[in-house]
Amino acid sequence: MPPGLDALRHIVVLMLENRSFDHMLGCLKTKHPQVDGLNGTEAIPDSTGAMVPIQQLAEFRGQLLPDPHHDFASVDYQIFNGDTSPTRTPTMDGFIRIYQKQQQPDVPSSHHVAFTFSEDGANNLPVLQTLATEFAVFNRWFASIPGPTLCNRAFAHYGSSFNNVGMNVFYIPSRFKSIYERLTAAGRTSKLFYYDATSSSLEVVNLLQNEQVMFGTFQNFLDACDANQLPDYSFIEPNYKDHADSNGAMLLATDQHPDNDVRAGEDFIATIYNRIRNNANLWPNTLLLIVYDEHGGLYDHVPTPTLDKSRVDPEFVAQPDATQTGQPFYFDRLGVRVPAMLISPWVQGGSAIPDEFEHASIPATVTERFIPNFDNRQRSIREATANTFLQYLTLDTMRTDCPDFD
Amino acid sequence: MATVHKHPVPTDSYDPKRPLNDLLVAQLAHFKHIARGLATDDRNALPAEPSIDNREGIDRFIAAITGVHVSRKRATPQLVAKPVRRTQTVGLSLAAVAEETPTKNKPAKSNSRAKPKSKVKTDTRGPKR
Repeated sequence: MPPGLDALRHIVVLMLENRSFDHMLGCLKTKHPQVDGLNGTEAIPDSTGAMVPIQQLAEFRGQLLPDPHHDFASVDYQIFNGDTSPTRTPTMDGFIRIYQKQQQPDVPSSHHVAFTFSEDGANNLPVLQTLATEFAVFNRWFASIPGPTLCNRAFAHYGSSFNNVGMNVFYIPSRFKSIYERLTAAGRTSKLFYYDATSSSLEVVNLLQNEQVMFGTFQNFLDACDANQLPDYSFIEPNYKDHADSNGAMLLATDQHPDNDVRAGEDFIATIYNRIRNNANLWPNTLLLIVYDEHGGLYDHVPTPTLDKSRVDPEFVAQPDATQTGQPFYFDRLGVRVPAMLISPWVQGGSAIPDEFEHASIPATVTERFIPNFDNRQRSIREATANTFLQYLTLDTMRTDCPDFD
Repeated sequence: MATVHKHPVPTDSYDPKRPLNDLLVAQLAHFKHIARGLATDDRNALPAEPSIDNREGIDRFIAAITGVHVSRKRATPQLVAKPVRRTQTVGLSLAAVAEETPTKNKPAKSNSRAKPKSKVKTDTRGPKR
C-alpha cells in the first residue's frame, strides 16, 4: 500500500457554489498545459449569432446580476444551445443566449457568463489557482446533474438525488442511507459542518432534522482540527449569506455563489487549508477535496458526458413537469464541469487527473476507505460505479514544499 | 515555496440586505417546511414565518430552527445513556421471570412500553459516537 494511503485517517470535503471550471481555472492552461483549460480562441454565439470571445474579464463581484439561471431546463439550453432533437450533441454554446433570454431587454452584461478569471492579472485567484497547480486538479469532474444546487449536493451525501432535478423538498427512500449514517452504523465518525446557525445547512430536511448528532458548525471544525479530533469524514458547507455574528461582526458569504464576493471564498478556502497544513498531526494523514456543486450558468468548454448504461439507476426518472424541457430525464447525463482539486502532501504536485468524476465519487470514496465491505444493494448504482480518488496518493515520501497562504 | 498572498476582501462587499439568490430562496422554503412539522411547543417558540424580502427575519427564523435541532442534539446523550445498559439487564431478568411466572407478564410489558421507540433508536446511536 502506498505510504500516503496507509497514513490516511481523515477525508475532508469542502463544497463551494456555482462556478464552472473554465470560469475559475480555464486560464491556467497557458502556463500549465496539464490543465484542460482554454486556448484563448474559444467563442460562443449571442442571440444575434455574433460570436462572443471567452475573455479573462471576470470580476470578484458585481458582474453576475441577475444570477444566471441554472435550473434543469436552462442548463439543458446552455449545453445544447436550444437543440431538442433526439440526435443532439452537447455544443456548450448556449450560455449567453439563455442569459439574454433571462434578461429583458438584452443587455451587454449577458456576456458576463463567458468571462473567466485570469492567472496573472488583478483578477486572479491566488488560493484556488495555487492549489490547483501545486496539487492535483481534476480535469473531468462534472456536476452530477445538469441542474441546480440541491439535487447536485444530494449526490455528495447520498450518491443519488432520487428522481429530483430541482430545488424542491424531497425525502430519501428508506433503502438508502446518507454517507454519514452509513459511517455511524459502521462505528466510524463523520460530521457535516455548516457555517453557523444563521447560515445553517442545506441538508435540513433529510439530515439536520433527524440526524442532528452528525452536525457541527465551522467553528467546531476548526476546534476539532486544533484538538486533533477530526472525524474520519468531514463535509464543510460554506457561509451562504452576509450576516452579523452574535457580536455584530460582519460575516461575508464564503460560498462564491454569484454574486457573493469570490475573495471571501478564497479566504475561506485558505483558512481550511492552513488549519490542516499547519497541524503536524493532521497534515500527513488528511486528504482535502475542494469541489464546486455546479457551474451556476457559467461557461465551460468540455461537453457534458453521457453515462454508460451500466452506471444508470433504472428506477430513477425525472418527469417532464420536473425537467421543464418537455422530456423526461433518466439521470444518464452529467452536468457541466466544475473545479475540483485533491490536496495532500502525498499527491504529486502539478498533476492533472484525466478520469471522469462526479459528486457520487465522494460517498463512493469515503465508503471505499472506511466501510470497505459495504453492501452495494444499499446504495445507488451511480455511486457504486463511480470512480474513486484515493489512488492519487502516489508519492513515496511526503512533500515538504507545499504552499502556505496569508 | 514562498507564501502566497490572498486578496484582501473589501468591507464594502458586505451587504446583509442583498436579495436572496435561488439557493437561499430554496433554503428558506425547506426551513418553512421543517418548521411546520415541528412539535407545537417548538413551533410556537419560533419567530413568525418571514417574507422573502425580510432578510433579518429570515436570519432569525433559520437560526431559531437550527437552534431547535442543536438543543435536541445536546439532549440526546442524556436521554439515552442510561437505558442502553439497563435495557439489557432489566430486559433479561424480566424475560427470565416471565418464563417462570407468566402472571408477571403485565408489568414487564408496560415497562417496555413506557420507553418510546425513538429513544431506544437514539440510544444505540449515542454510545457509538
